[in-house]
Amino acid sequence: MSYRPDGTYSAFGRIKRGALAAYVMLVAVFLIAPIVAITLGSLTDSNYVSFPPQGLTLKWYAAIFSKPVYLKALLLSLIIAFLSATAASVIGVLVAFAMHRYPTRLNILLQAFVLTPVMLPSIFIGLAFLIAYTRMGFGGSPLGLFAAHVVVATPFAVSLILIGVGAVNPALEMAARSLGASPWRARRLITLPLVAWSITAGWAFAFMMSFGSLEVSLFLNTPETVTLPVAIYTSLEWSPLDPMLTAISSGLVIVTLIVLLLLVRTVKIDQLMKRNGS
Amino acid sequence: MQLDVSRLKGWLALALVPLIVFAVIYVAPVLQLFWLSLSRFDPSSGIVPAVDPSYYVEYLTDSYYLGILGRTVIVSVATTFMTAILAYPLALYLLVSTGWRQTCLFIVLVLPLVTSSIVVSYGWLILLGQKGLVNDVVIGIGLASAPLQLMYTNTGIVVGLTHVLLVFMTLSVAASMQGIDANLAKAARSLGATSWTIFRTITFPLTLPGLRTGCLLVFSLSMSAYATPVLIGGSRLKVLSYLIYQQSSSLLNWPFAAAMAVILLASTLGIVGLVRFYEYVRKNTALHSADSVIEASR
Amino acid sequence: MDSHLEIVTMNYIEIDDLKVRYGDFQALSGVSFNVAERERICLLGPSGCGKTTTLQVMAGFVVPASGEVRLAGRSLIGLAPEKRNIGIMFQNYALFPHMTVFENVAFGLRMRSASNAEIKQEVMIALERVKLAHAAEKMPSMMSGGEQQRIAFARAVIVKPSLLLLDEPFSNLDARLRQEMRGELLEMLAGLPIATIMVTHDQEEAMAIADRIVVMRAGHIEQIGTPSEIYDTPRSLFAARFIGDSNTFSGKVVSTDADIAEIEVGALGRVRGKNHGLNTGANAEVLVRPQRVIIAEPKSANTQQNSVPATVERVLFLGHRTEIHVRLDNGFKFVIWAPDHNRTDVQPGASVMLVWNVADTFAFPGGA
Repeated sequence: MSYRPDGTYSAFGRIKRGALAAYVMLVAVFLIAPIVAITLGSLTDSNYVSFPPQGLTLKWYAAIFSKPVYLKALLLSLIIAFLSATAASVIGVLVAFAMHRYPTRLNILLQAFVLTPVMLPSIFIGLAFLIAYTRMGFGGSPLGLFAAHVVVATPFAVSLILIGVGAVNPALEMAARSLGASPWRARRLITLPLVAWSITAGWAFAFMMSFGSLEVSLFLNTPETVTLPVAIYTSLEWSPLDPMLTAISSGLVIVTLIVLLLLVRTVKIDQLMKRNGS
Repeated sequence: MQLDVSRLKGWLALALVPLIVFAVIYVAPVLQLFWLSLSRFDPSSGIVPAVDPSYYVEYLTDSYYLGILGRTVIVSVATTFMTAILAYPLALYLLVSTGWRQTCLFIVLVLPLVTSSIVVSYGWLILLGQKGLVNDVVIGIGLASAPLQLMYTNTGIVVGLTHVLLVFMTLSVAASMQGIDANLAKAARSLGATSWTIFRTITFPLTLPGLRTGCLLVFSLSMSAYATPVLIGGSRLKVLSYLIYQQSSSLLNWPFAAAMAVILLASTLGIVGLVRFYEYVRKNTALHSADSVIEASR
Repeated sequence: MDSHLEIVTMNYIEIDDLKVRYGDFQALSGVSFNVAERERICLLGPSGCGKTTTLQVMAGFVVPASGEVRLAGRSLIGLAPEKRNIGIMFQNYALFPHMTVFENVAFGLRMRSASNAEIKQEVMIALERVKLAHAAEKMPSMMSGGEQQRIAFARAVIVKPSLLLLDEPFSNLDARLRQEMRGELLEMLAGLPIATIMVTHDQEEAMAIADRIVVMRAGHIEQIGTPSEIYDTPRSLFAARFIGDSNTFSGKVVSTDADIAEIEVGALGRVRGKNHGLNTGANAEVLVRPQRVIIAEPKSANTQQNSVPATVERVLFLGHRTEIHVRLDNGFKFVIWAPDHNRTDVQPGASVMLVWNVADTFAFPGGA
């Protein structure tokens, strides 16, 4: 379905519409430029980073396998992101149902707890986690990393799941109950299938934010807890022109893109925009 | 709605786990950071508990530190401005396009946000370097005779931040554009208005709430950004986030770093608060303004 | 209609002194009424009067602070909604959007662990009855409003509930569609021998569908009666105004005699009407329906009639009737309906005499 937000666009002549499309193309190029530079730059045959690539080869990807440190980092990032996204989604479901089923002022507390992490500077919470988790005894361990990522990822899962739960007509569960379904069955058969899309989308969003998170992982960085972004960051300081770094960065982009496409397939964009902003 | 005991139990059954988990791994650390900012640090003995705001004083009276805060604010304001200008046509197109075009634009907008900042910044490094593509093109066209310095400049930082944060502004503006009644523009056109006039007098004023949300959001996120300004700006052009990282990781002065982190947070909230206060005053003293009419009709 | 006698339980459903509170707000302050076994009751009233709350209590989604709800002698208080076997039709129908029409109608049977074969048979019969057998595998979103209503109905009644509740079924529709859907619903209800309680704010709907109407206001019951009872003998100004159309004007009670009150209405002189709890000297609201007033010659009124002078403001020809808008000499406005077969040729600006029967006049305490 197409929107006509105001009569302006419908009254645009062909020239104006063409100009708009051209502008959008330019901005789109701007938006994907650095990412394209990395991915295509990783195919270069030269021994230093070059974009446009000189020659096309996959040798740098093969070279990754000779540096297990990157593979370890990739594995850790994937596992942490998977676990964090799952934990964030579980929290998201609990919070969304609590807020919609029981609309009380107590929910302000819930919101303050699970939605504010995204509003604080990442440096701020990274430092807070470093100090507090060290004191609590799990500062440098994967557990600390996991906890930090859950905090970072949860607001994203919660906001999407809130939209999903809010979009369900409350009369549907009542109808199911009146037809003989217990509260649990009504939720399982009616409500849950109808919010499933938002749980998947929330999970995907949380995964991407955790997988790409740098600052928080940087603060909690120890030899056992090197995530992929951190590995790239540290290597960048020493050898920015090594094409293998672009290859591993592309690997990161590819994982992100796959999950992003999953998100886009589950979410209807117009549904999302109705709740965004004012 | 007030809760009686049985409904409270229901709420708790759902909310208790999130609340406790987050109290431990999030709220406690944040509160502890505030508390820590009032402690002192001694290089030989470590953290000395105290209730001493002298790190705040030290920061706010040092011109070097204040300069860094100033740069952070200026860069954030510039980024907010750039995203605001660039977002409008994008928002319009996002709303009128359909099918794969709309999906593609959405993906392209979101990609810089969800791709790790390290990768994006690395990409800019490749593009904006002395031997990067941008310089090659610029010299090739003849716009400059020598390679431009694009990396490690304030401009570069603004470019990088705009790149990542454009999606927030676009979605905000698009959301409020979507709520505009299509008949308004048609009515204006029937009365003789041109496209530009319609935009200026109808569309733009009615998208002010979305613009406002977008600006506050982009500003806050710019102030707190780390990877992009640090990687593109380098260690010479420090922003406050970098300073905090330096203090905590290399100098190990956690209390000072905590104080700076609080100052960063306070500056962001302070400026946002000032804007809101200004709007509040304007709304309550102005007799008629587009903004108040719009807000009243919502 | 059956010719042999049927014993019908008069108090099949008993609602007894229901009180419901939401925090500080008293939603129901003592509501009581009974429903007979195959009776159709309409809860009628403006928003906030408590009609939907009453429905929710009967369905089991709201727990009353005090009071009793009995079905066939059994108390429902404390019984979970899923155990009450009460069918509900919701505003907007609440069809499960992710299930086919078949699965929607089959839902209640699945909850009762019926076998697949049984379900298939019963559902197809139910769909045939509402003429939607061909749509079994379609999704609800593809069906029209009327079809959705039929599906919702089939879904609610397939489990043979003891009571059917309808929550404002037509409030989102325009006038013409409303009439159509109302007709369809009446047809579906005709074949169904169960008690039905409907909630609505539309008095015409209530009168068309209900055997008896319960007029509600601000958490209590104003009057219970058949549509004609309430229309002809309303017991309060609110009930009189809510059902049917009315003209009203205020005055002061001059004398009361038997059940007739005489009211002084300023420049118009005096009118007499049926007394509803008025004492001499009290303020009164006088009410008469538009179709009971005629324009007549001055001095033609007899002692059983009221007459007041007025000036015609405008005449609207609406086909089935002509609406004459007049202004009484004391400033109040009246609307008179002249039926199609008795058209009038009165002109705007004319001075006329309005005449109507005392028996058609209601006098209620005013200034409420």
